[in-house]
Amino acid sequence: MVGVHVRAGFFGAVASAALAIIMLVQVMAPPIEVTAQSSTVLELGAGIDESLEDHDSDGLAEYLVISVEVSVYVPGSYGLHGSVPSTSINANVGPLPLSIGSQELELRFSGADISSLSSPRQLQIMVEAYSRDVTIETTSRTYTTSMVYDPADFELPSGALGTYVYLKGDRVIIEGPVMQVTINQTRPELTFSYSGDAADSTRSSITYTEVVAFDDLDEDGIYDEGSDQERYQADLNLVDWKLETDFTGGYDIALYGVLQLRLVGTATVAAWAKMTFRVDSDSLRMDGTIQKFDIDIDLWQPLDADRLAVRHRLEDVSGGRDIMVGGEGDNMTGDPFVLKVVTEDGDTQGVYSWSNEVSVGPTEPDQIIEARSWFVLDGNGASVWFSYPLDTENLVLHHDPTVGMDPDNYPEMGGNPPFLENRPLLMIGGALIGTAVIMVTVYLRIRSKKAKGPFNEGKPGLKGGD
Amino acid sequence: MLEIAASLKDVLVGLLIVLSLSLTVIGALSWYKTSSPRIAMVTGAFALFLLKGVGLAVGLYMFDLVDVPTEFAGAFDSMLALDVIILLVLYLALFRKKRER
Repeated sequence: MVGVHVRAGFFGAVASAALAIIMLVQVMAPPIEVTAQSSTVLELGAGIDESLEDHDSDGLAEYLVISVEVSVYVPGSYGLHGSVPSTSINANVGPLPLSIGSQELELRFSGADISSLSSPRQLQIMVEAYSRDVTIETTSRTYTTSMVYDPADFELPSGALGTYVYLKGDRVIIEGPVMQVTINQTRPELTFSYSGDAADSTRSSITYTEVVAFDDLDEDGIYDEGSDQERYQADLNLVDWKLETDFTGGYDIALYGVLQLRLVGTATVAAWAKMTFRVDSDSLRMDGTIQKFDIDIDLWQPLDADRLAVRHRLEDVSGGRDIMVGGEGDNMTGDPFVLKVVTEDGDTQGVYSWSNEVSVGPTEPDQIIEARSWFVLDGNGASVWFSYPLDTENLVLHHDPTVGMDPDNYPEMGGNPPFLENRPLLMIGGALIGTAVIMVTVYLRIRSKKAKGPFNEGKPGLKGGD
Repeated sequence: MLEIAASLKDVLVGLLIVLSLSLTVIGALSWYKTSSPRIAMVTGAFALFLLKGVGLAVGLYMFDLVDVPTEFAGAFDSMLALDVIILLVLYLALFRKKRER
């Protein structure tokens, strides 16, 4: 019996040891999870490359760049989303059109997010590859960086200037420390305002409504509906607009659509053009108060007309402010033509400005020419026109107006008013209440005296002996 | 709360003016009849209350000379209310029956 027990004990010990070894191996094995739902579409590589970007050479990195190899088996539009679980560290790339084969995509993790870590460590990054085709399932893989990263070695990327971009309804919102810019995904409308709580009360919009090609009969560059001859027209509200975004190194947001320029008075489409509105972080001023945006028009056919005019409208959306012509003191953008959004107190909050210098070219806009611009102020808005000369060779056009918000006139928000409100009507009400009290007391006094008869105790008042 | 404090302030100013005016008039009439120096002094005190009320009304509502800071709202309303209560008590005291001994 003792022998049996010893044998059982021996085998038990061996089994326990084996189990312990198996468990130890599992614990020590690197936590790699591969969950490729559809391996024939796209695969993520086994390893990653790591590098740091220090644009201002101050020894602090603005970005941690993780390069991931992607093997594409079915061409399409794909993007990557990388995140470090349990942190706010995340990055995106794409979606980008990828052809069959292997390519490297870079995920740029902002130094601002990494600097918020509590201690130096290796980063576990979960990378998800997704397709624009919603029928294709996401592929994901988790990687561990080979280097240990110290949050003290990272800083906010100066190119992003503390801005963050998010989607709300049909708008892409670029929220900066001073200014908020929004781009409508469904039509060419851009709004600008102060950021944060002041956004809704300080919003102005620029809406592009129409493109007209006309013969400039009076040769003044201005589209005069009475004297010039309209040849072609495109209603920008009828265009199918699409949005493209790229958040590598900041933000690059482009709204584009194909215009059908119709012969005036007919439904005949005489020409097509691609129109693009672009906002990117490289065009944001360092202090986040001024944002340039690009208008690109790519004519697919030459137009038989003298000039192309773009009609748009600047409007105070929040209300209570006026649109006025900017003067010398309002030229915060450096552009010669300025329209400013002014409060009732005369403070300039927003500006919309532009230069008449535009770039044109056959395929790339590499020649500078002079455009014309004019505007009509009407209460809380202004109708603005840009007019560009047309020729048969230069089919590509680039113009870059600017929007800005004056940081000195950021409205005071929240908190209590400094003083109590004064309402004279309530004071009169108090006086009436007091009068009523006196009249009631006098009436009661008189009634009491009458009830007592002629022998009363005397009238109310002060007596010398009291 | 600030709305209530602001409204209370305005009502109390009105009450202050009416009560102090009534007491000043009553005091003046009594002094006219009795020519008592003591009554003159008391009437003078009521007149000062009236001056305070009228001065507040002019400063707050007419020439925008006076504004009550919101941090001071509670204390200001309390002091005004105390003034009104003092005057009301003094006013009602005039109608108090003299006790027969």
